[in-house]
Amino acid sequence: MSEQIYEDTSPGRDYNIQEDKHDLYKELQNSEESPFTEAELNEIFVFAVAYGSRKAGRTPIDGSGRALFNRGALNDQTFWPIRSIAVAEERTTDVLIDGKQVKEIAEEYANGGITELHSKVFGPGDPLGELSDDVIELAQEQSSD
Amino acid sequence: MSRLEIRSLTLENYRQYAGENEIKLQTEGDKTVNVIQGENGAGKSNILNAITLCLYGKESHLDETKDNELESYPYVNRKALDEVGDNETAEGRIEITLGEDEPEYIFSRSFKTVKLNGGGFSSQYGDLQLKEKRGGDWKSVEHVSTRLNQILPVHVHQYFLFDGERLDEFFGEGYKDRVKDGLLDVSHIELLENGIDHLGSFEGDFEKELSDVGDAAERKRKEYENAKEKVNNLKGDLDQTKTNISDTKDHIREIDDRLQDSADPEVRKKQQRREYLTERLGDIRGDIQEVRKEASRELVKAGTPLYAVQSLEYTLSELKELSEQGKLPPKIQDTFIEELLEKGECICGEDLTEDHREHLLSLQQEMSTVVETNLEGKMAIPGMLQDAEEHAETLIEKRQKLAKLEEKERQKNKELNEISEQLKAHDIPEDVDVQELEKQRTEYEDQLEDLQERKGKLEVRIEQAEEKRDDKKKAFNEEVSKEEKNAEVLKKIQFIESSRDELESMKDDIVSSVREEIETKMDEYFNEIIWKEENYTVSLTKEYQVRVVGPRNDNKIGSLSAGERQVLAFSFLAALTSVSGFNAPLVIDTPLGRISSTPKRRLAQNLPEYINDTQMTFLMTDEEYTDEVRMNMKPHMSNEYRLDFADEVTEVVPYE
Amino acid sequence: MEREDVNELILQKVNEIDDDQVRNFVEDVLRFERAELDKQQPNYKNDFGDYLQRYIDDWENYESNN
Repeated sequence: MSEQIYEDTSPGRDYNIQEDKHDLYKELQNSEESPFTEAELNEIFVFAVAYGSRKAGRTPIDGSGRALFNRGALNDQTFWPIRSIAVAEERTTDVLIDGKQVKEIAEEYANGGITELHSKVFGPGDPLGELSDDVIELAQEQSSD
Repeated sequence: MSRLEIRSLTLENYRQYAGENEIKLQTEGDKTVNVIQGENGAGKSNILNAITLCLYGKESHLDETKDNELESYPYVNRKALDEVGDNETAEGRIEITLGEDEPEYIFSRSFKTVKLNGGGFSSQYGDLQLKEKRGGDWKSVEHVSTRLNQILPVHVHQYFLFDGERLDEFFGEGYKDRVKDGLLDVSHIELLENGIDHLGSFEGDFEKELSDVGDAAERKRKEYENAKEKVNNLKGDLDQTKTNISDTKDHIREIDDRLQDSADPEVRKKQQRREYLTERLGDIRGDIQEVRKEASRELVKAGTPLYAVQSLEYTLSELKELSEQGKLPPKIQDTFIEELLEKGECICGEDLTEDHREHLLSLQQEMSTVVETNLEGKMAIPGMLQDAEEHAETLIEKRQKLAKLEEKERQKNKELNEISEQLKAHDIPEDVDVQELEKQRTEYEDQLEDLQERKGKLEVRIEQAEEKRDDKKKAFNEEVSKEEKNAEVLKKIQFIESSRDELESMKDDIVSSVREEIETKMDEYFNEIIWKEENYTVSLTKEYQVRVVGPRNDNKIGSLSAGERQVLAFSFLAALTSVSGFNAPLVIDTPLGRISSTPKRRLAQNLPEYINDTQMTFLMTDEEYTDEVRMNMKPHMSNEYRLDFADEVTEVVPYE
Repeated sequence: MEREDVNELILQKVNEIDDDQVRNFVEDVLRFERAELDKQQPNYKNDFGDYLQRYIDDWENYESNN
């Protein structure tokens, strides 16, 4: 457990992404081949955070960010994965008091995750098939715990 | 409430109707139904034909008993023709009086038939005339078709004046286009589309007016113009591609028709089987799309928590531990804050100012909020993980369903390929060159595939080009607005743009809500009329696919009987008319033809209620108009007639 | 607008437009379109220009600096 004391900070209104990755989000939302056509941008973002925490890694945002959505769009279903990933990253729940850092961690995992996710969806193979195989496997591992 | 009605229909010397026959059809209160009973040969269907001939210059129903003869079957009644000599002309006319509470429009069209020397006939009809009642006087209307189009547009009329027996063809091959057209026609979308187009050009004019803008802005203007042109070129490409697709489909249909004419029964059988398979394949593909969408939804819901499962579990265990220890999650303890406040001195040694105090107090507040949040987490996370598992279960089901559908698709495709190969190998000489036709057909099919791929790509490119154009426009406007004198013009441009945006979003809203409403009504009517023990769910997707899902979650549209398809089509049309916002009269020929007894009875009972406040005139055979049907309709009926056919002449008489 | 002749659905949606000037302008445009439904090349520019003049002075430009 870290000895670090976390500063109480407010996270700011918008969740940001790297400027040149905006197109990736748009393509995932608009392309017929994508499983994300009915998802909101904030949902794709959180999926990318989770995906990134597993398959990519934290990638700091290059340059000035660009707002993707407003914090108000998130709800319990989407907030807790973000919080948990920050907690797991810092190995302490103390980090939750530092809203800014929680958001930053999420943004950086999303930054890495979105690139991976985009390649997965638009690369060879059937994205729906491959991603759902993945997810089903995770579910089966989880329930056998 | 007032409704637009056919108040009377006058047939003068039209086909079986000798002399002048006026049929009064106006209704009272909620008795909105008229019935005219007669046999097909007696001129029953010609009543519908008379209406469409008068209003739209065509007869939609070919009388079955005189199918082949209709071309030479003269418009003018035989008796009237008997009274003229060779090379002489006999005349007749059809007149329709429309109005709400009183006569308001009189549409009329006359026609004539020449008795030819050799014993044949030649007929032609004149122009549609219209008299409209304005301020108590009857005035001739000049632009008749415009006026008619406002009351009952050409595209829409087929949903109000139609032949019941043709209904089951409606949901045959290519139905999605018919459904889409129906929906768009009934929403009168073209009004909005015209407005959007015209406003676009109007805006363009003002843009040209922006003058003296300076070099920087001129550059931006050039970029904007280029971007606009690119969009237009791509759209032109798309239109051309759509036309090519339509033409190619027509070619394929032509070949299909010719193959159907083959002397070889084997060939005909294969062709029929192919048509059936193609229809089913269309449905299966639609289903596959739907199930993929459903699976995608589950994937997104399950994926986020499951990819983050390790973090979620770790966090949960941390929160549980802290809660057991009775500790507050953040390290800064509540007691520590209390101490500070008491001491009045910060750890750094400085005295606590008012600001510091306030800050500490709010920190204390925040502590409790943080605690609350974290406690929520302790409860929320397990629920989330449980849900994720359930979504994953559903995802498995959807994948299995998808696999089955894809297998069906494969099999159907395989069979279609086999049929094609067999036909290509067919070398028995006959009128129809089966081998050659099949080869051509395969080429057209390949062409069609390429064209559709091209269409998809163009649509994506157009979206991107439009985004780019909008960016360029914004940049140009920004430059221009720096010059004050352009402010006026810019304001107008923005006003027009806002108006255009409103029209665009109205259009999307209307199409979407019309689709949903039609879907709801279709589902309601179909289940009501069919009245089976199982409940069906009728849905209408964004791609205009109609799915009839039974209790075992299978799309049954392919296995409906002819009567059931007729009812489905009926439900669709009833839904269309009730949603259309057009208050126009319905005339249906043989509404109950192929429908079996229970649905027939329920249709008779319920139709006036489904389509309330609309005048409905039914033309029925005596097989349809059973005592039971009559009894069910009586409460809603205003006028009831019979067709008395004798000596090749029909007279319209009251039923009893 | 001869309201009974335009599709109910469209009328409803028009009524939902918040901006008074825009709504009135759109009504005028749609009335025009309905009257000219049959014509190949309706001469809209003059009429649209007139409609625009009626409302533009009172219109508050919301989107000045998007």
